[in-house]
Amino acid sequence: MIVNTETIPGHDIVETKGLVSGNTIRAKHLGRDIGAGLKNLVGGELTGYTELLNESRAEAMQRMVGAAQGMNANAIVNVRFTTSAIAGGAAELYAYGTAVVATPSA
Amino acid sequence: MEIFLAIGLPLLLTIGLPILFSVIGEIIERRHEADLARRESAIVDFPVRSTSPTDLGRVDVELLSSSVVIGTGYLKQLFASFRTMVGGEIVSLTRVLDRGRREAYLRVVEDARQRGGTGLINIRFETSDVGGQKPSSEILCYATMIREL
Repeated sequence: MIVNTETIPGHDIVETKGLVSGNTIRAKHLGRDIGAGLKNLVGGELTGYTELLNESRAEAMQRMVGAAQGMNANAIVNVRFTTSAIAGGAAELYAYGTAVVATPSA
Repeated sequence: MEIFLAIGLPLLLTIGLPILFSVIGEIIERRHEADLARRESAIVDFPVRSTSPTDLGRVDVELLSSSVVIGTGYLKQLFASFRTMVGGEIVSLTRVLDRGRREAYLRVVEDARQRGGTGLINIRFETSDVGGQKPSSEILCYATMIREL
């Protein structure tokens, strides 16, 4: 279970395992960069970059989940995301949260 | 012919093309806004909160997120740079970011409905600059979906 709230609705947090995070830096190939450059002449959604960031975020989350599983946690609460551009056409995605053990509340 | 090549062509490239691009951009923008309004009217009754209530009873939870990268367009960027000299609201850019934010929000809500969610809590928005030299912004929207059991 992954939530961005401090508690999990319908569940009790029985143990806090610690901070977990995952990051990734990804880029699209040059063709997509050129496509985005052309699209930006008129403005509007840059689909190639939207895809890139959504894929990267999924990857970063996957790594965060892997870290949580390594701690024997079954949920991550208070998840936050950050994005930063580190070079033209490349972005770093970072996801972090607190790994916990939760059980359905009675 | 030579006069056309010497004066007309550079003029066409420096003034004509940006105007053409901004006209196309305006058409895309209006279509997008109409599409957003149509989709928004379909989800008005879906409960979304930016708070995180704890008294929800027994529910299933899931984190949903969606991001949209939206480019401002060449001419708008140029106008914005003029506008920053005199100050004031940059309406054209407000519109661009508003479109991106509404799109990201709609994708999250539509995703929640598709997954059988009954509401979204603790919704958050984040904006970051991702384009490098290309002026564009990423708008991220994420929330915890609840599904009543």
